Amino acid sequence: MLVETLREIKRQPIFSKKSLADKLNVSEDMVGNALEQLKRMGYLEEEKPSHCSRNCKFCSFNCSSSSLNTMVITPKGEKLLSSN
Amino acid sequence: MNTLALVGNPNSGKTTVFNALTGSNQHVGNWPGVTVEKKEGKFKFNGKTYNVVDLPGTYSLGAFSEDEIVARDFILKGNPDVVINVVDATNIERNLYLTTQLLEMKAKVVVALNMIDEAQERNINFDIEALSKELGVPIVPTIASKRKGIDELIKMSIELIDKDIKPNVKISYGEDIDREIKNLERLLNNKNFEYPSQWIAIKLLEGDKYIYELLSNDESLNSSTEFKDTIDRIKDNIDDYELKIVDKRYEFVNNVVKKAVKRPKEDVETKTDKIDKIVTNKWLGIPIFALIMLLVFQLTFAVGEDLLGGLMSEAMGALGEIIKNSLVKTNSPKWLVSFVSEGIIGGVGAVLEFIPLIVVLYMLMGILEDSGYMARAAYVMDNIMRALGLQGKTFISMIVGFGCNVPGIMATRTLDSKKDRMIATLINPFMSCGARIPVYLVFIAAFFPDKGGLVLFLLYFLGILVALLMGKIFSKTLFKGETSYFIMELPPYRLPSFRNVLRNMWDNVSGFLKRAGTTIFAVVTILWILAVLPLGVEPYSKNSILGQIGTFIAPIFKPAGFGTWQAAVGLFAGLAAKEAVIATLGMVYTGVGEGAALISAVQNAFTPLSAISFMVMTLLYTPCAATIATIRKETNSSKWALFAALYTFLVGWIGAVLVYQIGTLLGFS
Repeated sequence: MLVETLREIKRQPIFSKKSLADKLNVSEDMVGNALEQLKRMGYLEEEKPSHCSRNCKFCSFNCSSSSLNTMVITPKGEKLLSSN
Repeated sequence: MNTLALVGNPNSGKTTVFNALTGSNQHVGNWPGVTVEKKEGKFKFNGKTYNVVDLPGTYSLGAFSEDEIVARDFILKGNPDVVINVVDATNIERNLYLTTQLLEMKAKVVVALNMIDEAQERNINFDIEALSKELGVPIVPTIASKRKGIDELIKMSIELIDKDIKPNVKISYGEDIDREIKNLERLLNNKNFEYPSQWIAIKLLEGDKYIYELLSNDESLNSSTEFKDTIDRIKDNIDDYELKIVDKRYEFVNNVVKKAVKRPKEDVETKTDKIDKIVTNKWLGIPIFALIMLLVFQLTFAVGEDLLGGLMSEAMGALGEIIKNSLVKTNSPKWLVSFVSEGIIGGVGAVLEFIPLIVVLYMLMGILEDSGYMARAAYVMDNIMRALGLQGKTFISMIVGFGCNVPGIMATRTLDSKKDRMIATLINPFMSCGARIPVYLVFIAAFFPDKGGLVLFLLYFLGILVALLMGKIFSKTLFKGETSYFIMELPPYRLPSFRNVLRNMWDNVSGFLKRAGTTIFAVVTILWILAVLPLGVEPYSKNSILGQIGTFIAPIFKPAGFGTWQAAVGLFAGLAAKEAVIATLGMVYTGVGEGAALISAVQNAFTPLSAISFMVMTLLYTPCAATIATIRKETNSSKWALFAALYTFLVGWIGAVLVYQIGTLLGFS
């Protein structure tokens, strides 16, 4: 299931849990678990933009990270996909 | 005394079960050698006392945290008579993953299917018998918060203590892994480890460092060539094995859930799907995004300016009068009165009076972001970005740039290729940051008071358009190459949380206030000194140092329709910080200060056409010093920072000149 989830993400890079669940015929909770596992095991990496730097002290606007949740398939993930 | 161990995911209601079992008969300590809290308690049943140990809440029993190691060590080495696995019935898949690991440990497990009432409320129904059969362990539905099912749980657990039965469910991990487990079991069987051989074998295949370390201390094992070869072979395939084991556990959980859990048939098309069908439509997506942004700006003006706009202006005016009168009454030196009333109140005040508008704008932007719409906007823009040879993620850094270009440029770090990162960095300054808003607002109030929302929208839109155009040019010239894709999860739509929206707004407004009191104050002080020197000249006049600087620069802007020394010096000050443009105009236009007086002065100095031209220049020209410094840092090159400063100035100047010249040709004034 993990490989299928990763493959599906590669195929459909902008996804919702529901669209993945429909495609993989599992529940949304299951997709959520699979995503967490893939991140934990280093196949998928959540991007947390480090917007703030020392330059921010000269800048007046927000440094809170955006709620846009982007990820990247790691080289380990790419290797897994190419070998499966 | 018999011991029962409680194990479960965080928030599964484990502590509530513990409290329901032990009442007030409990004490708290620490697990030896670690800082993890150890909770123990006792209860009596049929005259006999039982010990209960509440293990730390974990999602799995690996070696990723002290909590996991403490929990698994107690189950395997502490020899509890029964392990009560508290499972959250509303989140069954996630919780059963831990259960599968307990089954691998061959522990005597009773599952407390907790929060069963909440699951029923959500129409999640369990076939308890089937669940028990599939897992091979007794299941007791509980509502620990109401103490329901607790007596049954105690009875079932105590009955199990004396029974010599252990979970008989076997999870197959696939032929190659099962074979490897058997092989390892054989090699480990005669050793006196505190853990079961089969479990050690699984952990070795999962790459558990703790277990590897444990075995490295065993001399007889390490002298075995067969064992060494086996370990080498495992290590070569460790990622593959770990993945397969986790995968099989999920497969097992999925099968159990399919057989024993009935959920309400999820709508094939949810509300989110229905909305997405429209807002992410290939043809409608962009117009809808544009319409939403237009609505945001219209609302910003309707509420921030028409409803609340006068408040801050009046407050600043009144404050200025009070401070000025106090200074005059206390016979303060003339220069101090001038500095405070014309420099500080005129400069900083001119910036501060736009706070209501900024509050409303960032609240609305926060609502869009927290509702999940901004992710759709990025999705919709991805198609356009790709068509232009840009990476979709660039748009995310552009959205961040609407707040401030500094974090916007920092956000480009998430772009994988240097080509994408360079383009995103160089076009980010065209995103209209919040610091430019006061400039627009003064000119809108002076010339387009009834079309404020539309003008603001068009300026933001122009910023995006120019950024995309420059991105396309860069991708075809300076930075050629393949564009990589980006992965993003679209969250379901939800009602924005008041707290999140407020926090987003405060992040922006607090920074705005902070900067008004620091950078803008410093810039205004320097400009005021330049505006009153040399001594003897009329302050704020063409003959002051500031006036001379402005007079020297002004001819450049003549083709754009605002070749006055005041406008030139305003733009010059904007190189330090964009708010300084309006602070400077507030000071140099006859030293009148903020509010209606500044608007009236601007009306006299500009025409509607030159006002548009000036706003376009402010939008596009060289970003502030902090942004240039960030570009230098992110590109690690002074050359690129200089390039960014110069090319944006050129783009801004061309834009302003085109607006003014074409407008004049068309008969506008």
